[in-house]
Amino acid sequence: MVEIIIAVSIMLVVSIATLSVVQKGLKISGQSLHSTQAAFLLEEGGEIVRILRDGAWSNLSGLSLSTNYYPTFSGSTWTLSQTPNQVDSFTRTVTFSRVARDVSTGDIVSSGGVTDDGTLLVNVVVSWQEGEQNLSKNLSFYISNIFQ
Amino acid sequence: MIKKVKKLNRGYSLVEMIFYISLFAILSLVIFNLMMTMTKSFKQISIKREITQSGEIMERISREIRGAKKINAVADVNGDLKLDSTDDAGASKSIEFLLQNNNLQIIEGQVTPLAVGDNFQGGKIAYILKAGDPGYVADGVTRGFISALSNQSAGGSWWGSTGACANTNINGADGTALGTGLQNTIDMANAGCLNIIQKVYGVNINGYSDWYIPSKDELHKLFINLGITSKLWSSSEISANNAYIEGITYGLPTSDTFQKSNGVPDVHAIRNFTNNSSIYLNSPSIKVMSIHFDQINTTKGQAIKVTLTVRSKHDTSNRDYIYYNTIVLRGDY
Repeated sequence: MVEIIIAVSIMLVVSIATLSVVQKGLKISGQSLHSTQAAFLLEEGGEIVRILRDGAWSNLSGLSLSTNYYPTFSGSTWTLSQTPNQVDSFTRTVTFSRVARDVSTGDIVSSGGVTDDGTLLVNVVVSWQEGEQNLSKNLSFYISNIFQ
Repeated sequence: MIKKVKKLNRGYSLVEMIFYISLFAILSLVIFNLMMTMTKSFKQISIKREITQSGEIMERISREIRGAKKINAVADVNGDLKLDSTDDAGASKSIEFLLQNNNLQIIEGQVTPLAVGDNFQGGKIAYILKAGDPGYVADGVTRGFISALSNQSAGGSWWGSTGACANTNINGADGTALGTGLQNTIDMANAGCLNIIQKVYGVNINGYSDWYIPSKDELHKLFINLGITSKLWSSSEISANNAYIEGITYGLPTSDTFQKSNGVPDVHAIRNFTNNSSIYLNSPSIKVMSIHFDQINTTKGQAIKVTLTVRSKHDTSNRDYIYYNTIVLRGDY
């Protein structure tokens, strides 16, 4: 009888260990799915900024810098709103930063230089909650007024 | 005597037995519960893996939209999106996404739909299959048959003056309906009726070698749609001595019975064609529950917002997962 109890106990320990591995796998597969969904939302964030630029440069140049904007679809086009919104369990923000260029070379510089009114640094962030963990994906790119 | 006492001491009291059995039962229950949880977890992992892989559907849609010149047609609910695009060689082509029975198809074809009389793949399009025709499949792919640009033989008997199939009701070659001409021709070849089929079967005509002699109904379509006027053999056998021909009688295309030995009718080849290619984007384990396309117009071009809802066929809870994307078209530069 004691031997059976010991055998069952060993099985219990092994099962608990296996279960913890499986639970970890489940968590990772959930993260992987959300990560794939977030990647498309991130890509969409970049495209939304392009659509707004294609509409008119003033759609972007009139926005406040370093302010979180939330893309909103109105039925026929995208707009950027300062009112927070969510896409299912994801939050997507778009922020714009000033771009400065070196006077002599024209290169973009992180400090100094003169402001380039025809270029903005765009940062798109998609964030979501994964259990207790906050996860996010980030996309940064420059957008220029190529139709001026 | 001492041995007997020792043996008796090895037993368990009732309390011990109850304790051990209870402990065993509890541990067994816990293990069973763990096993069940693990099974469910494995299933969940499998479902999430399938859903994650289904992101490839959105990836393919995004690529096709990004490479397109313009939107041809869009239905915003469970639609049908048709794009004008180009292939690798720069030739125009159409891309269509079509949701049917929870399966998402991508159909690649020509921007301008083919029509009867069009020059195409070695001849002229004689007939395009429609709903109800044998061989018609409602999958967005255009199928039909093409007529050779001229007759392959000016006269010739169905069986030849002598040969293996002379005066014989051959095995097969009895089909008269659309879609039977190819098998009739194969049956004629197998039976040794080589006189007229040697002008057609396996012969390279305008770059194609899959020609055959039309069946009675296929031949009739040639006359109606392409205005053929000469008397032509069909591959539809009637009896040991007769087969169907078609010619113009009193100004109308008319089918007739003709002696196989008669050398007057000409021979005209046709071949099957399939225009578009069509594949399913979702794997068999994934159901596409819905797809929505919203067209966005800007002063500089077009974009499409795509909302794709998928579900695993293995998910008994019927949970849907949604992918979102918006893609700007390349445009017509």
